[in-house]
Amino acid sequence: MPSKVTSFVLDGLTAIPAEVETDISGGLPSFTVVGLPDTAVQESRERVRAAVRNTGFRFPLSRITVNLAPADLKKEGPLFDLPIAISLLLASGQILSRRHEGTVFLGELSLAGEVKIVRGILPIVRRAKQLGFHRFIVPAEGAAEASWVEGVEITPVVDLRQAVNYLNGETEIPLQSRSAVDLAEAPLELCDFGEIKGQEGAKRALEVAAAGGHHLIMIGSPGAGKTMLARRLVTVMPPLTLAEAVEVTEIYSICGHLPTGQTLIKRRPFRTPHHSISYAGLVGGGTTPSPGEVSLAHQGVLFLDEFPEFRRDALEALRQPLEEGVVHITRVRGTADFPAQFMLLAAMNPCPCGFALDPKHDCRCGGGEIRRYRHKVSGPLWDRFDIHLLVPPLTVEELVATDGADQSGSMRDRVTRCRQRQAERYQNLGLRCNAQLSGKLLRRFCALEPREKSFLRQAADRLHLTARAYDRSLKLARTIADLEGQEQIHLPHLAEAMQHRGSEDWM
Amino acid sequence: MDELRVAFSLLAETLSPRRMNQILKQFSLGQVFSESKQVLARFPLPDSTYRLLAQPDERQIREIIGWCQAEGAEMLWRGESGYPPRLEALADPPPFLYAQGKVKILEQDAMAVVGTRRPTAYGRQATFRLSADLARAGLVIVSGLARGLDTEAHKAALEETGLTVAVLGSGLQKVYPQENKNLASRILDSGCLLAEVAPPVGPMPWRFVARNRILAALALGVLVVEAGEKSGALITADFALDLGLEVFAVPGSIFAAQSQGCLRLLQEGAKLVRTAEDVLQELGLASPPAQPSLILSEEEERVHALLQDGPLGLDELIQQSGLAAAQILALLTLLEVKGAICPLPGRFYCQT
Repeated sequence: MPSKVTSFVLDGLTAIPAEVETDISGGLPSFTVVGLPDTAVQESRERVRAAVRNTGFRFPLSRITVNLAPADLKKEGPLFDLPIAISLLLASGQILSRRHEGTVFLGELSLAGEVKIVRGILPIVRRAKQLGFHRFIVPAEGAAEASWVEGVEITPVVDLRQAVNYLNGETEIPLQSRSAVDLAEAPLELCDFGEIKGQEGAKRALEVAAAGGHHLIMIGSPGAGKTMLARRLVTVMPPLTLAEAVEVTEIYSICGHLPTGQTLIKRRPFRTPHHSISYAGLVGGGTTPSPGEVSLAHQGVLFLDEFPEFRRDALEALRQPLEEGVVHITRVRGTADFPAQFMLLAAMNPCPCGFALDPKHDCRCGGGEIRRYRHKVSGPLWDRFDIHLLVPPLTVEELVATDGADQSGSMRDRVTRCRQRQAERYQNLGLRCNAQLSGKLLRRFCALEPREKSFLRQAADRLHLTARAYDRSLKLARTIADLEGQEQIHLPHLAEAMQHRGSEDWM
Repeated sequence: MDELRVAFSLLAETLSPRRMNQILKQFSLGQVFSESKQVLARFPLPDSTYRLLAQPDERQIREIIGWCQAEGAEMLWRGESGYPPRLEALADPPPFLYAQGKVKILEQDAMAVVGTRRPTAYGRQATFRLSADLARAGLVIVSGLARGLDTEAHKAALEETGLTVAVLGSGLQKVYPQENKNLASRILDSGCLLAEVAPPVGPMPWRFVARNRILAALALGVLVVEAGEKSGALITADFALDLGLEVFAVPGSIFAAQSQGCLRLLQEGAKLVRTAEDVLQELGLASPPAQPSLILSEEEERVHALLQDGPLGLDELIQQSGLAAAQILALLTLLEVKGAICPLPGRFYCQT
């Protein structure tokens, strides 16, 4: 009778149950794995053989066939080592209980038989639970990560021997308990807006951006402090909720990017890819689709410095995740979806030499050069930025100022309250923040009183607002009103919003 | 619109106004094309002109006429009504002009305001204020639609009376620089655009020099606000001197490259301008009606007053006023909408 053990295959962020069957029959001794295994799975034969022997079990000298079902799905990675070994020991009668039934096995084996951590434990456990699996045997190192899923039994194992003893009922292993986590308890922030003296206009713009989830582009000379400001944006964003933290951790888990010793990502990601990044690196891809920077920045900030220097195709690919909050990656072997709800923070120089807006330096660029530089960012992409922020150069005294009160804390409190208001308002509409308002919903939630209406008309006429700038002003006014805790948009809100709005001619 | 005239206007790509005037003196428009051999015998013309004369591109001509009709452009022919009489003072007046917008305003007194394409904040503010005051005194502001100070001059006039003329260095269809396309279409509502060449002709460097003579000739005088040592604005001033017109210049810092041209003009005897009155007095015109006083709230007044001594950046305003960033930003918009201040590139603001 062939034995059967359950494991999982991860395809993007979709987990698919896989049966590991082992049959031992007479014939010349051999050990074959079938069912579309990749190289890592083929090699697991050698690891399993050594691990089984080295932990004191018998490796049967017979014809061994391991089948990974469903057979039409490509199996990847070393996570099948443990289930194959268990299945083999079951088939050869070295495990006698039926304790393995209904349990999911994940884990890589070392030659000595230790069970080692694999990628994607958290997403597999979370999705397996949705499919009705509740018991898991996972590597001890990955148990804490798995424990963030509620309502499942996680049994951590250190080596193959322990796993077998457990299955045979010879030892008991305590279930992994969930460590308490307080996400609101801010993990030590390394920087604070208080460290930047001056730049009050920029700080305000970033606060509004964070409060309403508005994408923002900073335009300023080299050394104006754009990166310094950008780094501090995450410090004013509300703490992650547990559900959000789990979503973020999942993505890092499948890429194997979880920092060692950390089982849950508690801080909002801040990603700063270099402008030489490839298309696949930015939005995700590869023959086996893996998440790109936009997904690694999920629930956080994606900071693209030197924005126009990015490859054009990579930039254009940003439009879809910006719109939908998800990236769909299509490959010959299928599609994968990864979440990508991030705040886009871009920075660029006003011109190729960088000094066009700096009164103290001479800019050496011609008008055509400047236009070409700016046109590297297409119009539709440009429109995604609700806030265009001109960052003036820092003065020497601002640069050397080191003291500074804590500002990020109070900014974050305001932003958090503002986000809560938005979450309540949009809870049934599938929106998260004001930045996503458009069309009908924009008119509905940004309704104006007659006085404000006439002001906006007057301003639109006087300041030559385009239709887009008009809508952007409304959206930003909504956020500014929310920051003040007001349901109705008043004149000062609108007036401030117009200073933040992107204008087409900032030159 | 006359097909022959349009066909003739295409010659402007290869022929100088002087040569075109000479041809028109000796041949009627019909003869130019029907007896092109004789024209060619009389004038040594380049090959490309020969083709335009012998076989005018009828499709292109029809397209131009169609475009002009659709966009409301017309041709002002020398010697006919509508052609600005002041241009006759030029040594080589353009035989025709393409005009778009309110052509009537070409009959009014005008002032040319020109300057560098890379001005300082001071230059922008000075241009804006002087142009606005001159416009309010009833002068049409003529400029070249270039980047920088030309743009400010047009904008100021549009804010006040809307009477402004832009003389292009390209055809009407090819407004240059591109970022001023919006400005050009705003000018069409109340002012007008002029071009010396057919609408589809693109910008060529030498044409910008040539158009400066028209710019000067249309006006009673030329006001140069900021100009570098080799600025095109100085060429316009030279044309003005040739025409016997008054040249005005605004002084600037002796250290700024953008002031050197103006300072040279002042040394050579240009009239120094501090206010619009200085210009108006010289021309014997009445001073402009006082600007309607602004009604500002106490806080608006406070911010407005900070800008008394010249442009300030956003952060300086926040620091000096002691108000919160959010408040200042709101006040700035209110002041902008009231027309009390205007934004400069790089997030600077100045009083208008």
